[in-house]
Amino acid sequence: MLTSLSFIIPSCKEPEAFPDSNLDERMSGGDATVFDAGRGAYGHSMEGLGPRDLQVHSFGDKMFGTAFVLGPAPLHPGLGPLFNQNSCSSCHQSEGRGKASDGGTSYESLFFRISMPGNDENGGPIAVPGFGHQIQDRAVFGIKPEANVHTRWETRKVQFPDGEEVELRQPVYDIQNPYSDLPSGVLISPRVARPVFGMGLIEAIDEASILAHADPNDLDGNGISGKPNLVYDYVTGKQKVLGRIGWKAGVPDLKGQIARALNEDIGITTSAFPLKNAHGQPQMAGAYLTPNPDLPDSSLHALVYYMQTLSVPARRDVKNPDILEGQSLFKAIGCIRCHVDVQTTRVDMRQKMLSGQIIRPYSDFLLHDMGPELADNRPEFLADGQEWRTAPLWGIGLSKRVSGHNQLLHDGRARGFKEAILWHGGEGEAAKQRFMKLSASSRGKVLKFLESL
Amino acid sequence: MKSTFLPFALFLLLISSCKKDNNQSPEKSSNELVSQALADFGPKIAVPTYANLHSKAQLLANSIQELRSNTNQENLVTAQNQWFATRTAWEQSECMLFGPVATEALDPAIDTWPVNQNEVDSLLASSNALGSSQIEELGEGLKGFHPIEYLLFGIARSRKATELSQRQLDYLVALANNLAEKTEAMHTGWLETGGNFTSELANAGKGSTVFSSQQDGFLEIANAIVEIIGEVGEGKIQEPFAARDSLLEESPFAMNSWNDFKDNLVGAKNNYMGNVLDQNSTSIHHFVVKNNSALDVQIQQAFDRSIGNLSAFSTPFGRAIFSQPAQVQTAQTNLASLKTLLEEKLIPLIQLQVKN
Repeated sequence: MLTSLSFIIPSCKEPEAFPDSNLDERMSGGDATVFDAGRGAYGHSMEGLGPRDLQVHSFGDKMFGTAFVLGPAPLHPGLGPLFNQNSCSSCHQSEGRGKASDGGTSYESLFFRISMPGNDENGGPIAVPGFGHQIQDRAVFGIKPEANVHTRWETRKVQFPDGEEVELRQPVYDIQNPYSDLPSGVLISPRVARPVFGMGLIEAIDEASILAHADPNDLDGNGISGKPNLVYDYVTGKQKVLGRIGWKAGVPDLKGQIARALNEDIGITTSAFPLKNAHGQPQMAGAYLTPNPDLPDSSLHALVYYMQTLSVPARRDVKNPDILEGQSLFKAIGCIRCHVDVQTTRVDMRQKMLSGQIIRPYSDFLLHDMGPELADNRPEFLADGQEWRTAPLWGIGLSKRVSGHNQLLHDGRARGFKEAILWHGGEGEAAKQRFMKLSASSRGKVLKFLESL
Repeated sequence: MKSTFLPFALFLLLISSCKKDNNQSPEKSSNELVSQALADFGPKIAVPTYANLHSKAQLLANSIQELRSNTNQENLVTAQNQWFATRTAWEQSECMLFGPVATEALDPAIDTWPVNQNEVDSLLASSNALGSSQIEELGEGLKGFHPIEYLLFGIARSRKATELSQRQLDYLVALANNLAEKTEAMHTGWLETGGNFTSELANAGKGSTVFSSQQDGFLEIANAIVEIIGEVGEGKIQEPFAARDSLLEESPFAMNSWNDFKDNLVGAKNNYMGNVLDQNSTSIHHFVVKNNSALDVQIQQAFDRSIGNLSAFSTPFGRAIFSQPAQVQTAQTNLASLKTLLEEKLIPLIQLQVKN
């Protein structure tokens, strides 16, 4: 009898918390992780989708690659009249990252946001009269593109304390050939297309988890603020919603992001954005005045679901000693303060593959001052001209493999991890300085760690 | 009769099997075969494939130039035949949509579908210049194979030379020149003197900036084959067939879809075998023979079955989806089986056996 009791008592003990350090480091997306380090690494559906879910995912996949044409047409009408590209995949090739212009007015996978100084009635950027929020550099026949943007690259050298020299390049933009006079004082911000995997998990991170890292007034005095961007939700009309998507966290969720991208980038209208992006322009001569969705809600939903259910590629070589040391250095020099490694998604049994996952996006999804050199000087809701959302780093080590290049940052100016680190200023300045003071070997290990993500 | 035929047949078999693998020494290890296949892929598969494509595209451009100079039915037919030849070369290359063709967005630049017909018609009705820079700036639905097809063939191959306007001919010349330029870029992207993507595969796992291991490089080649088989079965055939909608056919003007599908498969098999344009290279086939010869037989049979299915149709695809649904279904089923075989047997074999 006594023996039985002694057996029962220990089993009543509260279970200990399972430490994050015991989790498999490779599982960047939790259960929604895919083991593919190849060209298709960003394009896998999550495990566990039922037949119906897979059907919707597949339809969304097809929509993602659909090339739209000028209507009326039997297939895929709705392009334009103003646009930047004719399909999602034109910018997000292989679900991956876009790149900067090589120079001149030719660019395929970035666009330029524009606005007037100040905030509109919803706290967002003020549309440029006659141009809106984005320069559409292409148009259907008979309509003038809004403008072209010319890119010129300036270079300079940066030297590490140990003498290593790195060339940095910085774009200089010039808006050319506007279809009508641009008002003076227009603010311009380049935006390279971002990879689209793992977005469902980002949406599913509990808001409280994101806010737990916020310290907008730097009360802990560590030099890192972390400011949530509270934005207007153009789809629901809600004010001050937590933004978590986009270079400045200006959009709260995927539906808003995708519906707006369809509208601004391709000219496709949906129930969320039922008016053409050219609405009200003088050159439209009264056309496109009435709301008229080009895409039904089912297609928009499929596109949203497609991106919600794209897996995150697994990390590689996580036990490699150099990479482990690089990971420790990444933490020691302070990168981890903004590029927060672990996040947890909320429990939501409607989407079990997104529910309760411990994920490693390496982002706090908050805004940080990145200094004047990276600044676009264009505010977006609470993000000022120097603030950017911490870019998630998961999957970044496969960028070259998937997209054929390793251009990083919002305008693609960095041609690899080293350059990207060297562009960190503001709240990232101290971590950058610590990186620069590392030995060449240690710097190499940090870079190897980033390549393993 | 029997006694004389059997030795002769054995002799033939011996000759043919010697010929098939005449550059393979039987003692090569699996790892050596993988290294050789990676080294061979650029010079013996990719470069000849894109050289052939560029050559065909240049001949197409020349034939369209001639059509503009002497617009008659004979020259129209010549240009149409050259379009078919170029199309064959392109479709046979689609089993390797990686490297420059993907990263430089050359695939969408020449093969976007559907044609933006309203825009094509508006452009033709205008007096806009049609120089190379203007064509380059056009949207993707306005250039490449399919607008050329639209102009050369008209609706369901109904085009007559007498219908072609000077403006259409000028546009055709500009489009064909643009197509030739893009195919040249695909070719030079693999050349040592150009983008040298060849060295990325050859040096996979040994300094390549793209492929972290030989397995990574080898899987790239294999996965590209799997992808095109999936694209044919689950996209190009499935969408019009399931929707019973011939408007969803990719190549309706020349009614060339069955040839497109077949050429996709022929290219994929040639790539697998290492037998492209008479270049005899080490390839995935040799690796599979070394590690699982029964699987190689299965794969070759499955390829041949699908190619046979796709070659058997005499009715254009847009009509066959209505008139021959059982045969279309059979073709699709066999493509699905081939894809499953490669996904479930070949890819795991590579993952298991290619350690470097």
